[in-house]
Amino acid sequence: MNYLGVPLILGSIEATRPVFLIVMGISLMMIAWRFAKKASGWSPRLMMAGAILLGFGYSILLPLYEAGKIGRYSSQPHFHGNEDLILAFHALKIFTMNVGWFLLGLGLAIHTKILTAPPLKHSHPFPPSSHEPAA
Amino acid sequence: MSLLLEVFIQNGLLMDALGILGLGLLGLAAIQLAKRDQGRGGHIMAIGTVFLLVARLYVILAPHFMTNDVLYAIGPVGISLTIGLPPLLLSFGLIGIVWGLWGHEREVAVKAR
Repeated sequence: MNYLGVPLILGSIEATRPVFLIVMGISLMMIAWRFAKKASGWSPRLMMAGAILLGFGYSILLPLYEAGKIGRYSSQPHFHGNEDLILAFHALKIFTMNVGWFLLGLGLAIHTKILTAPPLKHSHPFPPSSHEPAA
Repeated sequence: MSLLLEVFIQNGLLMDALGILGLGLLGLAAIQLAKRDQGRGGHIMAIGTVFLLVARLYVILAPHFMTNDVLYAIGPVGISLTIGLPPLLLSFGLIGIVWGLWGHEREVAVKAR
């Protein structure tokens, strides 16, 4: 989001931001692993898949972008560098970050049971004597 | 460039939707965790998720409404905010989610002991 050619200064000091991203990515993977060890079913698998994708994205892809090793993709037709490589890395980044958050969110949502309906609280079920239709 | 690549990569429709959906689910799950376990971790995680959601929505939507007229109208301070706020929100959102997940995991471990 660099409209005016002003370098990003606030909140992204050049030297510390990649380190921050790497630390966050790795700790996200480790915490998700500890979280997933205690769960069962599909939620830990989804969660770990998302966390691994996000860990890869945050600790490898984004620092490479920050370091300038990968050219940034722009929709304008003229940009420098190997076009196919830049497009491939852009696709990889978009896929990793978005699907990673999606899988992590879905896993945690299944784990906390917000997607399943709560059990009905009727202590007395309806009486079974309903052979004739209720008029 | 093939049509498929154009739709899904250049415009990023499906992927952006997946990311927003996942962050929304993450926020709901964080609120549910906070409600269920009465801990601080869930709250921090929910706040971080909201930060990330706001920043991501801004990043997605900004090309559609940030014209030169809007930039002129909001003045230099507003322009500085549009440049400075999204990285801050992204950073603090990530910190919030990681810290909240860690805090919640530790709270559960302490309770189980």
